Parts: sequence; structure tokens; C-alpha cells
Amino acid sequence: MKPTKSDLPQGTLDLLILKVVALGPVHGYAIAQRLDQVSRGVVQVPQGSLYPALHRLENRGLLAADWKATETGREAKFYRLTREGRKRLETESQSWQRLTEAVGLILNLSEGGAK
Amino acid sequence: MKRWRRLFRRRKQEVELEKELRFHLDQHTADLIAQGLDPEEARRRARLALGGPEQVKEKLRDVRGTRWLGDLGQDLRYAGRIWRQSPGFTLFAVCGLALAIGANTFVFTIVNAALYSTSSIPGIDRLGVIIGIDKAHSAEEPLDTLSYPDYLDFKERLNSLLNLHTGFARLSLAAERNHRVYLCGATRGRPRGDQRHDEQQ
Repeated sequence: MKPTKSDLPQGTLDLLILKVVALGPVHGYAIAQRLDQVSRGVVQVPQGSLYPALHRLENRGLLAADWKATETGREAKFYRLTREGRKRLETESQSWQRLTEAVGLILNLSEGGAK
Repeated sequence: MKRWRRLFRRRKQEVELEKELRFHLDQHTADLIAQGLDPEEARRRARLALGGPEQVKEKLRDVRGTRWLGDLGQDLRYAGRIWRQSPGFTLFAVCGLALAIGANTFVFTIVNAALYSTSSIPGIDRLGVIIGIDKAHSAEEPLDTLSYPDYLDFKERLNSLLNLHTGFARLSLAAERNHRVYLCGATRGRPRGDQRHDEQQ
């Protein structure tokens, strides 16, 4: 049996992409793979929305891209983080942390524990 | 500005889109083959996972903001095809439009010349109207005509106020006498007020 996969909450795809790209220049397919591995198949990133997201981020100047050869010698479009992208990643991940902590607190309230 | 530069880069962009997606598909296919799938099935699954390269490209163009251009071109070509398909209807429509536009232009030209064109009269802002009223009949309604001698009198005494024109036929034809005349300084925007000029004989 496959584990049930959750949909990605709205707006989090950009954050995940920024995080993966922050680890070093990487092409689209590798981003898709990494997201898949890291989330252990729990979170499904529809590949069809990966590239529009990448190009959107590039358009906004959060990502930059160069064509470089891969290990196999083929040319691929490698994305990297711009200074602005790095700033965005920081603020976004902080606000994500705050949000999940708050939601976690509420979900962890034991019954009757809330006075 | 940015948009125009993007337009010129459009072809290059399309090529790069194609290249980027092809790379993705090929890599995914290779990985699936490495997992033991036969090439045909691997390629099929890779395409499926990506969600159809054409749809993805469409989405990417949306993001890039060049889609409107392609859509416009498509619409124009479609219109051309439809016209060629039914030449009779096209001819009918074109003739209808031509007639309508022609008629409009014709009417506008006349109306424009007759009503709105003011440049032919010198000192238009000092234009006045002279109206004669017959005292003998003590009627309120003005006379239809003034005599030519009347005109000459006006011209002599009112030089400073008005340049009288003989252009009005009614000024030159009448032979009536013994009426009171109002000189109405009807001006554009700034009425000069009535000035009375009594006792013509």
C-alpha cells in the first residue's frame, strides 16, 4: 500500500523550492526529485506546477538561472538563489515556523487542559 | 520596456522552455528505465508525471506574460480562415461596414461645415442681429425684412459697433418704413445688451 499523500498547502511550494535551491545551483528535475525524497513521498509536488513556480520566482528576481552542463554532458537550466531570494527564504521560513508552532500548540491542548 | 525586450527574446525563450522540459522528461525516463521499466512505459509515465508538456508550456507562457501575443496571432489567423470559408458573408459584412462608415463620414462632413465651422466670419465674437419691428401695427413679432436704405443708415451710424454684411437677402429687399428698430448685440457668450435706435423714416 502506498502511503496517503497530502496536497501541498497553498503558497508553500515557493518556500520549498527556495529552500532546495538555497543548498546550491540545481536544475528543475533535481528539485522535483529532492522534494520527493525529502518529503518521503508524503507530499506530492505536481511536476506540472513546479516549472511555472520556478519561472515565477525567476521573474520576481528571487531566483537566477544559467545553462550549464550536467555530469552527463547535457545542458540543463540551473537555478540559484539571488540575494533577494535568500532574504525572502528567511522571512518566509520564519513566518512558517511561527504558524506551525501556533497550530501545533492548539492541536496539542489536552482535553480539559485548556482552562 | 521590460515587456518589449521580452518579446524580442520570445523565440529564444520558447526554445529554452522546450529544452528545459525535454531535459526533465529525458532524465525522468532514464531514471525509470534504471528502475527496470521498459523504455516505452518509462517515457509514458514521465510524461504523465509532468502533466503534459504542452499544458506546462502554456502555464509557463502565462507566467512569462507572452501568452497574449500568441493568442492574438491565433485569433487573427482564425478570423482569416473564417472569412475565406464564407466569402459571400464576408463581402456582405465588408460592404455593410463600408456603406455605414461612408454615410457617417458624409453626414459628418456636411454637419461639420454647416454648424461647427466658424472660421469664415471675421470678428465672430462681435456678430449681431438687427431686427425690425413695425410700430404702426404694434405687433410683437419682428419684421421679416428691412429695406436697403435702412441698411445704409445702420451702416453709417453703427460703424463702430458692427460691420454690417449685405450677405442677408432680407436686408436688401424690404421697402417698409416707419418702424422702430432694435439692434441686438447678440454675441457669443457675452451679450452686448440691447441698444435702441429710434425713428427711422
